Amino acid sequence: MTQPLLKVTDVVREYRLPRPSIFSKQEWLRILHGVSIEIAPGESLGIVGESGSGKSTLARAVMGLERPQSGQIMIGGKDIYALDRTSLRDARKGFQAIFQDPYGSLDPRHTVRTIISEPVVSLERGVSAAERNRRVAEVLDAVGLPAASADKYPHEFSGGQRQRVAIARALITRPSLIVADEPVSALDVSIQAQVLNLMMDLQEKFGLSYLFISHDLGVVRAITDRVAVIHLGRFVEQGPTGEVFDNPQDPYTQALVAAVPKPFSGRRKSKRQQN
Amino acid sequence: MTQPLLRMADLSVELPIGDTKIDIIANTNLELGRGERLGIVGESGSGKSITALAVMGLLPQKMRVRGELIFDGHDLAKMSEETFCKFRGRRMAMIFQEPMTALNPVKPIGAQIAEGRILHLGETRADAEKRARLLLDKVGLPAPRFNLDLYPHQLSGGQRQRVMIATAIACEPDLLIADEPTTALDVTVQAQILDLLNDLIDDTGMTLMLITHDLGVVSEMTNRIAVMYAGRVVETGRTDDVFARMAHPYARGLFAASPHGAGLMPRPAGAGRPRLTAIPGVVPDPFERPPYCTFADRCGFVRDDCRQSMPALDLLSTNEGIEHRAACLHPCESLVRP
Repeated sequence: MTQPLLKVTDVVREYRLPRPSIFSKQEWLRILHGVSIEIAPGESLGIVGESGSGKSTLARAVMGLERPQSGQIMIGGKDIYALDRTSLRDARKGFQAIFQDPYGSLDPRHTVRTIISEPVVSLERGVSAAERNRRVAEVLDAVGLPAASADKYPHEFSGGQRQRVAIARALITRPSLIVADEPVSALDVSIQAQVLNLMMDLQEKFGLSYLFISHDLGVVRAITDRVAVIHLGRFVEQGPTGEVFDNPQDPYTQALVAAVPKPFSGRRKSKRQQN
Repeated sequence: MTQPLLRMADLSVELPIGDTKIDIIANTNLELGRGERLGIVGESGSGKSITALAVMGLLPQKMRVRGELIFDGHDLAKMSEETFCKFRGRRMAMIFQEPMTALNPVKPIGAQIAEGRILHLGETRADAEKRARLLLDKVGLPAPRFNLDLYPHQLSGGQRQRVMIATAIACEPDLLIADEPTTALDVTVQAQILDLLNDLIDDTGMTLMLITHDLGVVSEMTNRIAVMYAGRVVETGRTDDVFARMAHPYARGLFAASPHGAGLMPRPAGAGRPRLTAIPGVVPDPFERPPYCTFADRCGFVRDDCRQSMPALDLLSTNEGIEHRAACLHPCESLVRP
């Protein structure tokens, strides 16, 4: 097997709880209890779990935003928390994020051009303005937005288009890993399908890997190759997406899969049909 | 047939903007019999929540109702606010999507549940709170863990939604409107809340209007649905019939675009990952809705005459006394699933 692109080993992340009084003992809340995952180049891994399970905490740790108390996160063979500032800035070109809220994650006072070129400005010093504009045009084209969008502001776009802008911003540094934290859960069903299809197209075109975090099992099923189910800070089951959802082994995964309302299931109808 | 509990005849909700008026909801006809469970499905901007707010008399100030909105023989569209207050909460009640913002954060949950009974039924505070205790037991929040003097912030999302349900059913309303009751909740909690609602409605014989964008929820919870698009009902009928045929291309497209639809599709072995069947384009802006079929510009089955006129909600078939109608000139014939 080739070297994994992302390798998360035994990551533990704890948060400090507020102390009731300055004399009481400091308490910690452990969110991630030593989790390990791997993603191969070009693969997409889904993380499924309910709120409070630690899936977003894991995403922040992978993005290099919150240092875990113990454990290691290797991206492209480098431990991102062992790097110095310059090398970390260099490494950040290789992994970018897409967030849930297409309204909150774009600065309303910046043009789309400024928003999309931001990662280049901060991570790739010395790239000329002309080159930057060329790359903005390139990624706008890749996400299916007209080149004229570059001089508009976020409020001029619909939710689906804003999420395309967010994807363009993630692509501009030509990363190999994209961490997508609930990227489509704020979108309507028909728009959600457009954005998911776009993400699949881009993956094939650029050979991207996705760490795709979602609470929606249907969405994860559509876009990922493998899935890891997280419950209370621990992975309870990992495997190929189809297998895990069709034949869940862990009792928690079974409950999760069974809880999703499905058309044609005939559930909750027994009583009413007797009337 | 007996008189329906709720009847919308040619109902429109208009919003004046400057000199012009636009219809947020246009010419809607819907009936809701006693004890029925109706689901309203659609994307954001389709007008499903506005329909609910019109029934509750909670529309934003500027919006006006045109047409008939008859609730148990009373025309709600012409009712004074004073009379409306006697209906709202008593005869019809609503469960909102966000239990965090819909509950009052500075009032104990017991007082919030009892409020309706004191106001509408003239009960004393002590009687009403006794009743609130029973209601909390009924929605699965037993004493002593869930006492009446708890505040909303001391409860989880699912528990808050249970309190909302208790508040809504406190006065035993005839009509319960649930606007995306489980959208903010995790799937396992959603399943519990749906089970609870299901049992409560079976026990009390309440009429349910369930508003959701989730096709799974609506198929499990309702026996009749109305699919809305751009302020109009585009397809309505028995839930099973509508799901089996999906005569309107929008209903079909919505289902195919949802991951539920993708799950049913055969997956070719070896080939790349199958794409979802997305609906191209976006929902038209209410200010720029075309004078012809509002879905024509996104429709895969569009023909020339689709851009000539607004299609009426035509009868397709009748099953168990419930009509299956679709507003399409060329409704799809083949069954999605038998």
